[in-house]
Amino acid sequence: RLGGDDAPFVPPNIVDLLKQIRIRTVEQLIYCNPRIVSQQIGIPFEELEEIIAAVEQQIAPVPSNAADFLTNLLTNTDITSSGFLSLDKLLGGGVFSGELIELIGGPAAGKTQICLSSALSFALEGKTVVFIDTANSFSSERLIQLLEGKFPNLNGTDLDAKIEEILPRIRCFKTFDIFRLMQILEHISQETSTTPTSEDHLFFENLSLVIVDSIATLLSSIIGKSKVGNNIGHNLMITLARWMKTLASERGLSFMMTNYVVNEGSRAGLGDSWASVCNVQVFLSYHVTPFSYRVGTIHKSQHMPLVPKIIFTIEEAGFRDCQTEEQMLQ
Amino acid sequence: SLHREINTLPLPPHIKSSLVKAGFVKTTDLDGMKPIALSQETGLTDEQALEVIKAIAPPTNASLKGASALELLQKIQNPIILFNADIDEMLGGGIPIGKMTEFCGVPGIGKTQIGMQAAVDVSMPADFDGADGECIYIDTEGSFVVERAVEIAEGMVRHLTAMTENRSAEEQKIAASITTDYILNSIHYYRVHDYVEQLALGNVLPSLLRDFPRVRLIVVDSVTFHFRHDFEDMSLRTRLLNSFAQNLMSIAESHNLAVVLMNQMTTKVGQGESILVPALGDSWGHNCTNRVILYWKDGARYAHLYKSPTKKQNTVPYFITCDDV
Repeated sequence: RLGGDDAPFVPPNIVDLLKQIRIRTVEQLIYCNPRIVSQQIGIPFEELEEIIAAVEQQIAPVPSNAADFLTNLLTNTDITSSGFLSLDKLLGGGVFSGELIELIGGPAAGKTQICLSSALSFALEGKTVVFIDTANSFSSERLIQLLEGKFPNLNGTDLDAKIEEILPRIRCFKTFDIFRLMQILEHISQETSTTPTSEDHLFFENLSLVIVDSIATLLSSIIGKSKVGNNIGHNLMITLARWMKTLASERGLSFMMTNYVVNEGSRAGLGDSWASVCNVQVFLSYHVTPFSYRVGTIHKSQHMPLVPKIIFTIEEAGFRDCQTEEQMLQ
Repeated sequence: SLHREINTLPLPPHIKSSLVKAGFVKTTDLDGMKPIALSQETGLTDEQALEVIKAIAPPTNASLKGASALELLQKIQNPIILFNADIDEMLGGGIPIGKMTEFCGVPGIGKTQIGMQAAVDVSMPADFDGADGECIYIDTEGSFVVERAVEIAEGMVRHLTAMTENRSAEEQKIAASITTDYILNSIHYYRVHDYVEQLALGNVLPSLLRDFPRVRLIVVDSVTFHFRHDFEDMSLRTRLLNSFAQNLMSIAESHNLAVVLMNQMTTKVGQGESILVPALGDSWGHNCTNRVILYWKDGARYAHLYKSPTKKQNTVPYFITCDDV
């Protein structure tokens, strides 16, 4: 909006003149016909052109040097394990900071398990995690089972001490509608900025992973072909995607989200617009014969996967790679 | 640094179009605007301007507090025991509070029996590890038979008496207070006849729960029935079902109760063979926290835990007797 605090500077008297002929936003100013408008508001054509050029200068993005970009990337990228070595190989090394990872699969494919495992893995490295739960699938008990799997020789009081040390690093937010999800993201944005307002800024200082399980159930109730056609659901989805990408890139956060499949398991839910949002897409499927196992493949990635697909089972202690077993049974 | 278009705010369309016409594009454009100034710029009434200011106000920090994994661990409540050792063990102790558990199966497999069993079991007193609560039973198919509920309630009373035979007088007194009438009085039964009634009832639940604060269990038997036929617009069906599920999940979380949904099976025709899968499609499968599939094999009934974040997959046999499941 012209004249607003974060809008590019335009002299106030010009703003008022423009308002009178219904030009109120920066967009309208840039796309107007300067010859006609300068006549309508009674200022010289050259003066208006100068003002428009100054506005464009202020809002145009500044290019960065690719060498600087590479240096920045090499110094600031953090790679954290997902808790399962084979999955790390599939991801091209692990969970990269600043990336949006999408886990896609049918019910019981293992999506929540991977989220819980990653949360634990980040927490064990001293990082903190926000787990946004839309399907009541968060489980502290499961986190403890996985923790016991990682430290099988710990017992009694040592285990309790470990639990008290690690579990508070994972914070669960339950939400069942998109507006609350946006509030949570705004809260994260505020708390991870340079001027946090609350007392528990220590949690947000170390925040590295945000999980949304599942993004699909939250969005599916608002998007879809609507006869009214005002598409507010779609706009919300795109706004949400933009916020997550902004937070990922500005704060170095990793996002991990779960989505379901449609069309007999061949496509991810939420449509084509959503498909282009995440940097990494992992497809998971669940098989029952000859034994109960799961398969993970990469459909989209910015890194080269170190393995083409992974075959694994989920046990009480965690994940187990069973690629060789499956081959033997074939 | 996160900004939002006016278009995405939860406000009526005519208010949003007035804002956009007055040049307000992003929510940050409204920063520092007082309602009177806003109504002058946009032509909105004072009440409408106030509505806008409220819509963009940041929420209080209190409502945004998440809970740490440690806090949630300490908050875990006793599940609703079904008094079937195998099924309870498979589910991790019983039907979990705060989550949605789905039972899928073909007609005659015992879904309604399990629903009625849970409705009776929820009134078990806390002294005997029960949930000490009431149940809202939503019947969409008309399969709830009161005489059968009485049988199951009498079965529970007999079970209680046997359990407290050699215990203290105090406990025997508590057991004696659980009569068949007491159990049946704690089941609030609602019959819905079409999907509109079903969705409406879902929306009305919060006020029902204010009237019945002791409710610890909601049963929907079955969630599928009114959604299977007469729906030409599949994406509408998905949206309606998903928002119904979200509503129930939110209630399970905020009111600390368990939700049990019954689902039917449908035939999926594959290459060469066709198999039975739970109805309502791929997108529905993600709504419930736990999914149990009930099926026949060699003339016996089996319950298979298909999906759970905490317990691993397992299959147990079960029987339907005159007393219980």
